[in-house]
Parts: sequence; structure tokens; C-alpha cells
Amino acid sequence: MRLLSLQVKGVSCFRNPVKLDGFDPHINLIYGPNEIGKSTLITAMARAFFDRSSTKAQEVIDMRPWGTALSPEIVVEFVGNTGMRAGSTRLKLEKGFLDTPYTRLSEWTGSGYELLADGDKAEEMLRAMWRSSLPGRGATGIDQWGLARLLWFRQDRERFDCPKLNDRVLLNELRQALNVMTVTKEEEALLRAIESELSQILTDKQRSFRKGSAVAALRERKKQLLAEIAGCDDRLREIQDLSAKIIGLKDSIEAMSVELENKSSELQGLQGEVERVKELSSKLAVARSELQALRSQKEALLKDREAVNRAKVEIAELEKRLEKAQKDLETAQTAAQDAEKQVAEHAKALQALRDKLSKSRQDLERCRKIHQLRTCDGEIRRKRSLLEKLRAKNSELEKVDEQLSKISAPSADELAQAANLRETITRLEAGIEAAGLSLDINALADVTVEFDAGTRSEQHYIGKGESKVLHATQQAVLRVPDLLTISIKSGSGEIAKMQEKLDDARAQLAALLAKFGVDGMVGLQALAHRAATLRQNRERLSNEIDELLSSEGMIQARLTDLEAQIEQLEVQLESGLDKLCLTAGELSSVDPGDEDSLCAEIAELENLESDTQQLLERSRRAAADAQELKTKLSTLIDAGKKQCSELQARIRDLLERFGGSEEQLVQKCEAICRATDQKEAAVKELESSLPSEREDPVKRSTALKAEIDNLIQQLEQKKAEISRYEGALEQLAPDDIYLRKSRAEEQLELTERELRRELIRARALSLISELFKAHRQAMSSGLSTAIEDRVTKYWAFVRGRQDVKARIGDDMELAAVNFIGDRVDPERFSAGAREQLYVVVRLAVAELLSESDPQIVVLDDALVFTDQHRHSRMLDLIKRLSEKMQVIILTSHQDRFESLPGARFNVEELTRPSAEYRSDED
Amino acid sequence: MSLRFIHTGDWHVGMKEANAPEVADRVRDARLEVIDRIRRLAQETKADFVVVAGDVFEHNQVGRKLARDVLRRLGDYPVDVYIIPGNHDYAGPDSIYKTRAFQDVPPKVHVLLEQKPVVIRRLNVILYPCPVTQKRTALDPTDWIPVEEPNDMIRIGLAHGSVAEFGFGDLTDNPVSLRNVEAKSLDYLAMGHWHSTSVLSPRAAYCGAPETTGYTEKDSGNALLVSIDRPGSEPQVSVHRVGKLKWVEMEHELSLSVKDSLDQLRAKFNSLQSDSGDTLIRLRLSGVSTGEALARMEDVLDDFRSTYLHIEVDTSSVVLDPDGDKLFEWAKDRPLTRAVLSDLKRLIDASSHDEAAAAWELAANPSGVDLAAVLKRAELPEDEDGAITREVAQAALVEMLKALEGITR
Repeated sequence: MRLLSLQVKGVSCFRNPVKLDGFDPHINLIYGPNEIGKSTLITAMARAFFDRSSTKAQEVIDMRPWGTALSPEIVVEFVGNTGMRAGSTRLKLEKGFLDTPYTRLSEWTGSGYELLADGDKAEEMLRAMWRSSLPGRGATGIDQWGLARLLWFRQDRERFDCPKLNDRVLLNELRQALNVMTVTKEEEALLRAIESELSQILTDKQRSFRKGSAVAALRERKKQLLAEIAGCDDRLREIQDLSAKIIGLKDSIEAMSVELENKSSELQGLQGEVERVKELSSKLAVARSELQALRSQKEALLKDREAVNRAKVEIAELEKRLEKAQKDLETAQTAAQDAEKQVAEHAKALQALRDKLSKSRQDLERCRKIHQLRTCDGEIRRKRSLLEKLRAKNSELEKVDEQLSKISAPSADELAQAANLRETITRLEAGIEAAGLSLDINALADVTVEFDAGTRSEQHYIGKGESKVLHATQQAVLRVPDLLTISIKSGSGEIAKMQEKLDDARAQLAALLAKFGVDGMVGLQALAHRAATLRQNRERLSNEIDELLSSEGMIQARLTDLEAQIEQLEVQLESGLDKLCLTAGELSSVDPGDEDSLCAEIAELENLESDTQQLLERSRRAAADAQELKTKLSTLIDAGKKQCSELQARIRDLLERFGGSEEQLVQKCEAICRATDQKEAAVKELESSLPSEREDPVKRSTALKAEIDNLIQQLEQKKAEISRYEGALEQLAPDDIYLRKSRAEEQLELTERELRRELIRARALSLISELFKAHRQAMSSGLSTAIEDRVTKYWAFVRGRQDVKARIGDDMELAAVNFIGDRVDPERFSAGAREQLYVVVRLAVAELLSESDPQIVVLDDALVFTDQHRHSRMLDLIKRLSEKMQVIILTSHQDRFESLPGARFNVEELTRPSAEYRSDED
Repeated sequence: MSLRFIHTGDWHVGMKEANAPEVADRVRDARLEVIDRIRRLAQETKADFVVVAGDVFEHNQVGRKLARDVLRRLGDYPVDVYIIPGNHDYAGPDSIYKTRAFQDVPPKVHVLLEQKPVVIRRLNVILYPCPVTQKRTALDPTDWIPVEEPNDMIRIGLAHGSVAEFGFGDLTDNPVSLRNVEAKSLDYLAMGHWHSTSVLSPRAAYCGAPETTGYTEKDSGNALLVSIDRPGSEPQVSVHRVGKLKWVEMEHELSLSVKDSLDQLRAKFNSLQSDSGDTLIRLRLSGVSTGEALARMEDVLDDFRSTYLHIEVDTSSVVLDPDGDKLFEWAKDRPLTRAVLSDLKRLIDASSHDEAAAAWELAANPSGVDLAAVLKRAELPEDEDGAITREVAQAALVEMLKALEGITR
């Protein structure tokens, strides 16, 4: 399709007819200031194409120019395909709204327009061309505008909205243009039916079978049946167990009965044997007790005899030991005496050494003292000479101080002040001169002038052609003899002021100089210099004094301190001499002795002393030990004697029972031994005639009785158990467990068959759904790739770099993807970038659609945020793409679009009284 | 006058009906009703007594109700009935014959639980019952029969088990050696256990179950009438039908002509000669068909379902061809659906070859869609064995047809 002309009348600001004629087939620019009606023109065109003429929607009513009764009328000439013949033809649409609603569609015959259709029929044909649709009520919205929905960008409405590509109409058009498979309505319906079936079986996220679905119910039923079958099986097993137990018990009972019979008959046979054995046993018991009594007696007697013997042996041993101890005691006594003698000898030697040591120490003391006093004397002498030096310097210092006090010198400040005043005076003089009068005389002939400057009077000769400058302050008189006299007065008050200051400064300076009795600055300075020199000397002397003192270790001290020190030392010397009974003269001549040899002597004596000390200790210890030994031995001998007498007493006691005779005791012992032996022999004989442990019939008999009782008890128990189990079986018997299980298994079979059928059905539905989805996907991706490629290319062209790609998702939503593959949301781009991207998308889609039929793209103020550089690239792109389509650009900044070729329409001009307007190119 | 008696057994009262669970109760009832028909046979043939060779009950725990029902019907018998337990209702501690229901049996009913001869003096018969006491045993239940001097009594053995010589069953299946027939000087050995009637030797036979129990049983639904003139003479055995149920297997191949296929099927049904109310039919379909044809066939079968006791249809061998269907027509100018149908067809074809070929076919996909991935996605959660098979693909065609029918209505 292609727009040829557009005329509006009675539309908003266009009361009178306004026609834009001669649209360029490629690029058109509609421009003008804000609110001139550019967008209104496009909206009017849209209403003409898409709305019913009969509509009374508010948007259409609002098109009526304010304050008039005019009805909107629009005429559009365009090239389009009505479908009535092959190819596109030139058409005219005439549309009227509100009071005079009409729609007329006419076709160009070559010489004029011929009506093709009107009213609803015409509107239907237009809708077919545009693939647009009607809303339920009211005016059409952009969603109903078919192809124009994407291709006509309206300012501010969708500036930052991403163009919607998942419009069914658009996609179908694109598919047709690209020869891609489409989905028919019936297929949609078929799919919906399948999906609806599937959604009844599976939950939304297709994660599980719905609770109410047949599959879920069947599975539940299956579970129940299995549980029931398991329950029946449990019961059957119970019965089986009981049966097995009963059989086991019966077998066991049979075996036990046989055993019982055997044991009973054995018991019978044993009875006679039992009696005999009992009698023998009692005889044996009696003999044993008699033997026991004899044995005790024998033991007692033997014990007594033993005790007597032992006591005798002990006494003999003791006596031997006592003898030895006595001998040892005598030896110990001798040793003690020797030790005492040693001790006395060592003590004496030690004392002699100590006396000698004391004397040597005294000698050493004296020697040291004499040295010390000599040193002190030397010190005194040194300090005295120093004191002399210091006193001399001190009196020099005092002389300098006197000289300084006589001079009155200016301080540094006063010096500075004088200098300043001098400077001020000079400056003021110069200033006055400068501010004063200056006469610049150029002589045209030789001349002599007299110049009176108030304070001075001069005569000057100026040759022909020469010049001279004369200065005066306030007034001057210039006289050229015999010619003229010029009297000049300065009106400058400044000079007077300056003169005042100058006088003041001069007075000050004079006063200052007088203070110090000098004539000028030179004198003043000389005075200052002299004072400085004297001060320096003073400084130097003072430092020297301090230095000398500090070399004595007296920092910040005075002479008096030094004097005090000397005095102190003299006192020390005197007292020392006193103690040694020497005079000062003797001090240097007396012989102090050799300190070193004295020290050596003392050391040797000390060693000897310690050795002797040790010897004394040792001998003392030896004496003590000997004494101790003596004492111990005495005690031992006493104890031994006591023990002997005790033992003898004991022997006497023991033998009392036997009339004091040891012989009798021995006899009694022998008798009892004989008796015991006889008894033992008798017992042995009896024992051998009894049967052994193993063959004892009594034992066996008892054991058998116990076993028989046990068996009988067990049999009873088992019989009771059997009847218990039989009772339990009886309980279970009436139940038709097997029948119930059979029925449940039959039901289970049926349920499983049905479940299988339902599962197959569910899988089948799922398979269909997935196949359709997969094939649709394949269809779409062909389409989305085409768009993606173009958008990526054009956008890279506009931006001047290629670091992002466009990506169309499954839902035909647009995203950007960088080359690593990360998704970038277009929402995050800047205003300008988004603007450009969305325009590029529209152009790309328009290009695709234009393959089959050239499209009309409208860009109403679409690039306001775009920078100059990209703007110009965008224009390049538009220029290129417009070869295949018609682009209409609305703008308030026509300068930005100057480089574009094509038709231009100035809306401002159009709204001037002259209604018809042809494009600039005419 | 020669001795005549009815030899029956293997009644399996209370048996589970795994083959036709839908009509299980009806089949169980038939097993009870046949007891009355055996009674009528005894009356008609003027038999002297009836021997039941074991497995009267399917299980020792079929319950009191069934036990009482059986006893009631047996109570109506005009002659004595001698019963031994078989390996299903064996005489263990939990035996049904030891429950309260059997403490009160009608006077003509004799349950023989011990290896003791039963003398019927009036008829000159000694009966040697060999009751089964354990489900499995390797011992010959007929070994206990005492070897005696031949006398003028007719000696009849009554046993339940496998025949050692013939190799029916295994060695622990109560094996009876036919040698004992001669060794114990038996005139006749009445055997139970095998469900098809079978004469083992001139003096031994399996009576078979009186009511057929499944589609594959060869010759059952009978009771035997045995006549013996005098001790030592050869018995004459005649087979009498007492069973009511008929189990029929039918095969039918479908062709692409829907009308022909259905007409042929209808004819097959009509040609069944039987009392349709007692007939169970298993119909195996094969061949190539369309989804529409299968749907129409369900309608045909529904007509017959009310006539026959039970019809079971096995369509697992039928291959669907979507080209013959309405679907194909409809998809002609709908490329999306065409692509989907073509994939379904490939799936159906692929599963009839072996695995490797199928995988190759799936991989070489002209439509740009990765079929293997689609199959994976189509698998349902919580569906452990839920692989997408040919059956599923065929079901998918059927569902699509149904949906199509839904939207074109």
C-alpha cells in the first residue's frame, strides 16, 4: 500500500479543508511547530480507515472543531489491493463522521474515479486490506488497527514500550510474507480440545495426575485392593502357621509318649538293688565319725611336743648372740677415746692462723689510705689555678659592661624607623614632583627662559628644535624675556597634602637623629655598629667562663661554687692526715707499703684457715659416732638376757600336764598314733564294698522319677497348646478369606486393565500436545530468526558497533543478548537507545512485510532522545529501507531531517487561510 | 446286575476367575449349579453311588457359606457320595472338612479323611480312599492300600494326584504309580487332579472338571459313568457332558474396508452354535485398520455383548493407518497437523521394527523436530513404565479423531 494524498476537513484545528497532496512513494516529512496538528492528521487518517462512519464514540466526537457544528470529513487517495482484481490499484476513500456519516471507496479508471463500494461493504474491504478488526463498542484502538498497529508509531503513546510482535494478525502476515506455515483456527480449536482433556488429567504444571482424574482414582483403588489382598494373605499365612504348629506339636507328643513308656519300665527294674546299698551306707557313716575323734586327739598331743622342742632351740641361739655383742662393746670404747684427742689438736691450729690474718689486714688498710690523701692534695692545687683564670676573665667582662652602659645606641626598631622615614621622604618628594607641574617646552627657535618654581628659580637655554621638561610643584612662572611671562598654578590639592606629609616625615627623622646626637643616617648606623661590637665581646667572654666551669663538671655554676668545692677538699685532707698521725709534709715522703704483696699474703692465709676448719669438723663427727655405737650395744645385751629367762618359764608350763616329765609326753603320742591307723584301715574296707558313683541305683532311680514327671508335664503343656491353636483355627475358619481374596484379585485385574487404558490415553494426549508444540516452535523460530537478523544488523548500523544481538523469545518477546550469551533487558537501555531500537524493530518488520506488499510506516516524533550522530545514521538507514516502503515522518524539528530526500509538508502553512497547499517541491 | 457309579471330581468351588474377572461371580455360580446336574445324571443313569476324587473346594478357606451350599446340594443326592480331599482342600489341621460346617453332614455324604478301607457290603464293594494330607509330597498316596487275597469284592481306589509314569506334574505332586492298580489288585482307580477328561488305562481315568475353567482347556465339562460287571472284569467308562459354560476363542483379521470387516465379524458371531448366554468369547483382532473402523467395531460388539456371557477383545495386534482416516483428509491443507500426523505414523512404523532401526528412523527427521526429545518431554511424571510406544501413538490417533469429531460437530 502507498499513500498518495490526504485531505481533512472539520477535524480539530483543520476547520477548512486542508490537503496534503503529492506524497512521495518513499520518504515524506510532515513538519511544523508543536500543536499544529501533525499527529491529528495521522489520527484522522486512521479513523477513516479503521472506524465505522456511523460511530458516535467520544474520540470521534472530539474531532469536531471547537465551537463549530462541522462534521469531520476525510479523503485519502492511496494505492492498495482490494482483492477484486490481481495487484494493487489507485483508490480513493471518502469518509464522513457524525452528522453526515458515509464511506465511499472508489477506483481510478484512468480518467476518473469509479465507485467500487460504499457503506459497510466499503468498510469491510478496507478491513480486509488492513487486516484490522472492529471493537465491541466505541472507537477503534490501536490493537484493532491490524498491520498499522506495529507500523504506525505515535508520539508518546508507546515511546518506551517494546513493539508487540506476538500479534496474531501480524504473525500471520509475516508468515505469509515469508512463506512459513500458519496455524488455522480449527487446529487451534483441536489443540484446545486436546489441552482441555489433558488438563483434566494432569495438574497445571504437569507435575502429577490430578486428584480427581481417573488415573489417580484407579491407582487408589489398586492400592486398596492390594492392601486387602495383603490382609487376606496375612490371615491365610496365620492359618498356615497355626496348622504347621499343630502338626509339629502332634509329632512331638508322639515321640514323647514313647520315651515316657521306656523310662517307666526301667524304673521298675531298679528297686531291689536300692535296698542293699542303703544298709552299707549307714555302717560306713558310723566308722567315719569314730575315726574323726581319734584324729583330733592325736593332733593335740603332737602339737605340745613340738612346742617344747622349739623353745629349747631358741634359748641356745640367744646365748650365742649375747657373747658376740659383749666383744663389740669393748672395741667401741677404745675408738671413742682416740677421736677426742684429734679434736683438741685441730682447734689449736685454727686459732693461730686467725691471729696472723688480722694483722696483715690492718697493714693493707693503712697503705690504701695514704694513696688516697695524696690524690686529694693534687686536686686542690689544680682547682686553685683554675680559679685564678676565671677571676681575670670576670673583671674583663665587667669593663665591657661599663662601656656598653655609656653608649646610647639605637635599637633595631629605631634604626628601621629611621630608614622608613628616609624612604618615605624620598617617595613623597618624587610624588610631589610627579604630581606637580611639568612643562614640556619645544623650542621653535633658540630661546632662554627663566623658570621660577617657587622654591627655586632657574634659567634655561633651549636651542631650536630642542625640547625640555621643567618641573614645579604648586606654581611656577615661566618667563621668556621680552616676550612673555606665564604664570602657572596647580589646582591639585593632592600636592598640598603630600607636602604636609613630607614636612612631617622630615621633622620626625630630624628628631630621631637628634636623640642620638648624630647628623645623619650614617652617624646613626655607626653608633649602632659600635654597640653591637661591644655586645659581641661580652658574649664571648661569658661563654669562655662557662666553658671553663663546665670542663670541671660544673654546668651553670659560679665562681663561688668552685671556691666552696676547694674548701671542702681541704677539710677532707686535714682529717685524713689526722687519723694517720701524719703531717702534710710527711704525706709525700712516707712509705705506704706494697699493696699487692699484702693482698696475696692475706689470700693465702684465708685458704689455710678454711682447710683447718674442715678438718676440725670431721674429727668432731667421728667422736660423736663412736659414742653412739657404745650406747646401742649396751641396750642390745640387756634385751637378750631378758628373753632367755622368758623362754625357760614357758617350757616349765608346758610340761606340767605330764608331771613335769618330757618322757611321759612322748609315750602318750605313740599310743594314739597306733589307734588312729587301725581305724583308718577299717573305714577303707567298708568303702570298697559300696558301688561307684556311676552305678548307684538310688541315684538313677531318683533321676528317672524326675524325668518321668517332667515328661508328663510337658505332654500336658503340648496338649493344651494344641487345643489353643485348634481353638484359634476354629475362630478363623468361618471367614471366607480365600473367596474375598479371589474377588479382590479379580477386581485388581479389572482395575489394572482400566488403569492401563487410562494411562495410555493420558500418554497419547501428552504426545499429541508435545508434537504440536514442537512443530509450532519449529514454525516460529524460522520467523523469529528472520526478524532477529535484521534487527541486529540495523541496530548495529545505527549504534556504530556490534556488541549486542537481538533475540526473539518463544512468545515473540524481544530481548537483547550480548555476545557472551547473557540476556539484557531492553528496559535497561537509555531513553535514546530504546527509542532507536524500537524504531529499528518497526522498520525491520515493515521490510519483511514489504516483500509481498510495500507497507506504510509512520514515525511521529520518534527520535527525540537520539543524539546527532546516531540520528544521522538513523536517517541513512531510513533512506535505504524506504526504497522498499513508504515512510512518513512527523517532526517539530525539520532541521534535523534536512538531509532526507522526498516530499515535505509544512503544516503551519496549511493552516493559513489559503487552504490548498502543495509540497515544497512544487 | 453290574455295579454302576459316577466318577467325578475337581469341582473347585470358590475358584478365582482370572480369565474373565468381569463375570467371575457368574462363573462361580455355574460351578455350584453343576453339582445339581451331576445329581441328575446319577438319577438318570441309576447309579449306585458317587465318588468325588478330590478338590471339591478350591481352597480350605473358601468359607462356611460355600461349604454349607455344597453340603445342601449334596444332601439332595439320592445315593451315597464318597469324597476325598485333594491337594487344594487337603486334610491338614486347617482343612475345611474339619470345620464346624462339616460336623453336621447329611447322612449320605461321607468325607473320607483316613487311609482306611470302606466296605459297602450291600454292593460288594471295598473302597480304598487315598486322602491328600499335604499339598506337596513325594509319597505315593496309593501305597497304603493293603495287598490281599483276591476275593469276591469289587476293589475301587479313589485317589488324587499326578501320574508318575506319564510325567504330568512333578515329583512332589502326590505322584500315583499306575503299577499299583495291578499290584493292589484294583478293579478301578478313580483319579482326580487333571481338569481334562482322560482315560489313563483300562482301569484308571481322570474324570476331569465338570465345568470348564478357561479358554485353553481341551476336554472338560464331563462326569464319568463307570460300570463293572463283577470283581475282576474290565470296567466300562462312558463320558457324559454336565458342564454348561462354553469358552470360545475367535480370531478376526481387519481389512481397510471398514464395511467388509464389520460384516465378516458379524457373520462369525452369528455362526457360533451355542447357548449364547453361557458362552464366553475371547476375540483376537489383527490386521490393519483405521481408528474410525475400530470405533465402529466397538458398536458392533456392543450389540452382541448382551447376548453372550462375556466378550473380551484383544486389539494389541491391530495396526492403525491414519491415511485411511478422516484425519488425513482434514490435514491435507493444514501443514501443522500434517506434520504431527506424519510423526505419529513414523512412531507407529518404527515400533514394529527392531530397536536399532527404530532409533535410526527417529533420528533422521525431515521436519526439523527432534522426535526423541519430544518423546522424552511427553513422558508423564509418576508414570514409571510410561515409555511412548506404538500403542500410545495409535491411541493418540484415536484421541485426535475424537477431538476432531468434537469440533466438527
